[in-house]
Amino acid sequence: MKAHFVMMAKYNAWANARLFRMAGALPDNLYRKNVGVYFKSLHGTLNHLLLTDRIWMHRLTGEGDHPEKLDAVLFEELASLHTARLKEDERIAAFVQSLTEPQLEETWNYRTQNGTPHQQRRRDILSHLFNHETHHRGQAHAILTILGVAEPQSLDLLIMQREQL
Amino acid sequence: MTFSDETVMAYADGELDAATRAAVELAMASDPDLAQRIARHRGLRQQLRREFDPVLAEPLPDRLLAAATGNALAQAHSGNVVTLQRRPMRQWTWPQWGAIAASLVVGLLLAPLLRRAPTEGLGIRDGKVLVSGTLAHALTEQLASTQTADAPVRVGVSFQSRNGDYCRTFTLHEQNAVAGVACRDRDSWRIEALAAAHPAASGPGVYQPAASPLPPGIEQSVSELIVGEPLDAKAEAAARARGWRGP
Repeated sequence: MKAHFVMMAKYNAWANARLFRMAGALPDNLYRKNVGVYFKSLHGTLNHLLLTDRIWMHRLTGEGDHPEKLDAVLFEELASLHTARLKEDERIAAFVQSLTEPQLEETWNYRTQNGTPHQQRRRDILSHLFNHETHHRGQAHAILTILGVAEPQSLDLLIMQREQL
Repeated sequence: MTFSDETVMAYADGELDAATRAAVELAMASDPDLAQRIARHRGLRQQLRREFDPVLAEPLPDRLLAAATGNALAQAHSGNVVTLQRRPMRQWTWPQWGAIAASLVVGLLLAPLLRRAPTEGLGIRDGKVLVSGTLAHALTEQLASTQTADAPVRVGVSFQSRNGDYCRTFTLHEQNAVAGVACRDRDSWRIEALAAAHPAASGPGVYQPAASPLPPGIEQSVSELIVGEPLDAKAEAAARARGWRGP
């Protein structure tokens, strides 16, 4: 089980690095353009992903700050958001690496934003975290297509797995 | 005393305050498990860097953004990275000749800027390469949140380094584009790392990318220097108002 999450953490960092590289090459006005997805733009979507990862990492470790609103913009400039993203992906990978198999199975207590208590196994929380990332990266990929990017680079796990065979 | 994983990570990354760092070091002396946890995290960090760097260095296909931008992409590429500052964890200092040799390389990379105006300059003080002129002015005055697309220097990320100095990444949009990171050094700016980057596309339809991709060597220098968060627009403006001196 741990090997699976170590791979997912690596994949998360790999896919985010690819996505931010494509986002950084866009003109600034297109990066911020509201194309009608849930968090409006690439800017909104990438900020949301960093925010929610910080919320979950805070629940899992008790450390780190984050705003309460899910559409809060953490970094107005993409360059700063990218630097923060690299740090967060390292943090997530280091956390996963620090866990033992029994700790992955352990039930963890946390509270949601409105104070409701919840219980889940650590591995289920991590599954959600990585799946949520993939979900919104899919939206980000669609935004690139809507903006006219020809065949945005694939973000599939399979591509990373084949690259590293 | 036990330390959380977050504290161990922060120690390995050099991000703890002096008091906590001293406490960790004291505990490490008598706790081989703690020393091992720290060593493990340092190893993981290096391993992750090896995963990130090839992706950051991947060139984007030329045609990828052609339809969205109506122009070819500006692509950064790796290579020719000059790192000037010693790594924070190392105990040795640069000899003077090292700084002189480094300044010659910096001079070559910054040659177009230096040629353009006689007031541009590089200086060496205490073994450090300092900049003046256009680049220093932009680093002191320009805000990433308000800069114009035609500015000769584009400022990227601003942050505080491990020793408390403010640092900023920059890209010079010259014929031979150069990207780098510089840190405040009294009233000047000290170059920490420089790398050649492909120039932005020119001609009709040229655009300003949302974030000029920095060469991986520069990204890595930022990652090694940074403590805490990159500055947001408000913190950047506040730091400028203080003359880029610590709060």
